[in-house]
Amino acid sequence: MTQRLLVDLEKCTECRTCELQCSFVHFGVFNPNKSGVRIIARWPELPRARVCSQCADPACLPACPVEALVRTAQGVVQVLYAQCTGCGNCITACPYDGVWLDPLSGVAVKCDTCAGRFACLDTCFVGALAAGE
Amino acid sequence: MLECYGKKLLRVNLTRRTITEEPLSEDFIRRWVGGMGFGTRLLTQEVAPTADPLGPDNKLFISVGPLTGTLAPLFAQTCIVTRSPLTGGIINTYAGGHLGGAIKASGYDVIAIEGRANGLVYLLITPDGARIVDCPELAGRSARQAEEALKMAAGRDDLHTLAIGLAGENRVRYASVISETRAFGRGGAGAVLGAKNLKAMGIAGIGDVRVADQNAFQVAVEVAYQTLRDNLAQPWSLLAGFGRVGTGSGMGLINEKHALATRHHRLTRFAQAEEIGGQAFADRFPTRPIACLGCQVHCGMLHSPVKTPWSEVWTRGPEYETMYSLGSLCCNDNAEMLLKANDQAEAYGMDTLSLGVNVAFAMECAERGILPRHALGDDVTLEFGQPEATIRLIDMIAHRQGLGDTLAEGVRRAAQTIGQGAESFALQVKGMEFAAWMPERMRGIAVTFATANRGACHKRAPIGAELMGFLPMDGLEGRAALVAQIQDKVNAIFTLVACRFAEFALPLGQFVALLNTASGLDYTEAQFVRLGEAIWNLERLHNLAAGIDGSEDRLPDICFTVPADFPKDSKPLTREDFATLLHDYYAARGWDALGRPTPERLALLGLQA
Repeated sequence: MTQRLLVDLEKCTECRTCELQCSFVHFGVFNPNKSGVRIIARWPELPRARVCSQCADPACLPACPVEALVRTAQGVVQVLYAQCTGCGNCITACPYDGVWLDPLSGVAVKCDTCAGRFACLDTCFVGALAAGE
Repeated sequence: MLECYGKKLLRVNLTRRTITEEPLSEDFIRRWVGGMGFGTRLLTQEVAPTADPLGPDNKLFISVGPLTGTLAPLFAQTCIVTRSPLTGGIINTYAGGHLGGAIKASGYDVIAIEGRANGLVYLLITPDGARIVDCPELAGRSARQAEEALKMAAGRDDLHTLAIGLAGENRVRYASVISETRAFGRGGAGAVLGAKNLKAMGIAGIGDVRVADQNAFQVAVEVAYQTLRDNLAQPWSLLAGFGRVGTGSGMGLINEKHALATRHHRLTRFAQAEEIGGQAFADRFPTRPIACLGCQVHCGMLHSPVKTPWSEVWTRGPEYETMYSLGSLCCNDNAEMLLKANDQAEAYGMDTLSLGVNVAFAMECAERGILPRHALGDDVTLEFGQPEATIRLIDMIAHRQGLGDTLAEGVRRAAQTIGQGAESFALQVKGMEFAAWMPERMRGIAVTFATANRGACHKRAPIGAELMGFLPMDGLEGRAALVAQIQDKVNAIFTLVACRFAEFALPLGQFVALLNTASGLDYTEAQFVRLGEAIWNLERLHNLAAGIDGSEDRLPDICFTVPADFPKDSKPLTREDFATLLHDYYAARGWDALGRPTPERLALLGLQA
């Protein structure tokens, strides 16, 4: 089964370094909208995490009208940025809020597990992030 | 080159209700770097030193820095520079959290607030545009309520905010600016916004934050991360303690060292210190650490829910400094009271340090018979160790009722009003109430309290070295020069904008490496510290022209009275000691005997007289 990013909300300190790391690793810039993981504060309650569930039967794939979503050999759904028109169909289709639009570039953004490397784990000092099923 | 900057200033004129963008030149950015550098240069250029801090001619500059919103760890602070209604001089004040990242993402390095609106307004800055919105319905609301209203109005979860509470609207001279779970605490920036009728600001941005050299920056970040990991792994790590139970982690140690100001400086140790230290709060109340953007220390302890005798609250804090000001200084050993008081300070928007010192001052006056013991009402006695008196007085100060109106002015003015010798023991320098440390005990504190441009401030002192005995607390040799160096270094890192705690872990070279790889600039360590010194001197010149001269580089008489429990193995501060320290300080700074920067020193720093 495809591994996905797991967020332990009770350990998470909401530092959002994972967001900075993700956008930097993928796009060379710092921009939460370009991160595949999003942490939303709701103090005093625990934060909310948005991240792709790497579904076995993803709803986003068939929703894309321009075939900008593809499945890798590891089973991870990836966005082909050059193809993506920013129509938002995948966002509407996803039941988990796991994909969103980067308003600046106009493309859909989601967690791609960094080809199984999960770069965000390196920057979480409190062990709130893990790769799992 | 300079990819990490937006290179833009947003100028908001509340009188004319105009919002305009201005470019920041490469020369300006290169010279002043960001944060405190930008704010200080702009304020000293654009606002007369004699401008009424609460008048329409004062301006308030909100600045971020080259490392804001990047992976560089512990650089989430936003800097506000303005003229202080408490000191009458220039103030710089900081808040962490996530506001800085939002400002950076919006493409602005500086937001300048000027003039005065003709009714209560808020400022909303989003990718859809910037606008000033009338909000009479928010009058009197807590800072948190105002921030929530703004977030609802904007309808986006990437909006970050700052706001004032009732204290700012009532121009309490030490009113703070609250930003979500953090605060721009010292110096009355909240009163400045209150006088401008600006209740709140919300900002969201969708921009990319870039660096000049991605590979080199990544390397510099990895080095910083490793340094932090190594530091946090040490058993004695201060930062690790902060991350477990907050900044009050050192309470036991500080008390053991007789360095905890108690009962309005009559004592150096508080018998019940452990009941109000960081560990006590973590043990007794629901506690969860929350962090500022990109920070691995996570020193912010969120306590929710907490039942207190007054109301149920949730609050982020108290900080160590609050455990002193509203705790030991007032002889309050009641943790629930501290949580309630912290919540009041967040809701009303008041600096807990100045607030606590004013409360303790009132208690001291009552004890000496110069204020009536029932000044707060027939049902509560104004006395040390009286939680009800503390909570009542905080409400009265925010509302400017009765004695609260006198204390809302700060202890310097309150002492002048009350008279009867109160000026000799009011804990203030240049109008700024004392931070948590004792000049009687620690020579570095004596120097920095007396000479800091923003008044009795602890942020630029060798606290750790003196506390741990690496430097003798009562030593004079080289102490003043060391304080001057720290003042310069901290100023420099506040251009980036670093958290004060970053300097506890990262060596100077790493700050410079992060700056240069992010910006493409080529600062050396010496040049970087020199920048800090230049900013210090800009502040000093502004203050001198405002009438704050060398005669204000002094400590109140109470600092030369020896506390009853002063440890036998250490020497208390004498007036001769202080005179020596001040003389050494002026010499180290290259200033004349009256504490004025000489033309030679200014020329060296590239400044004009």
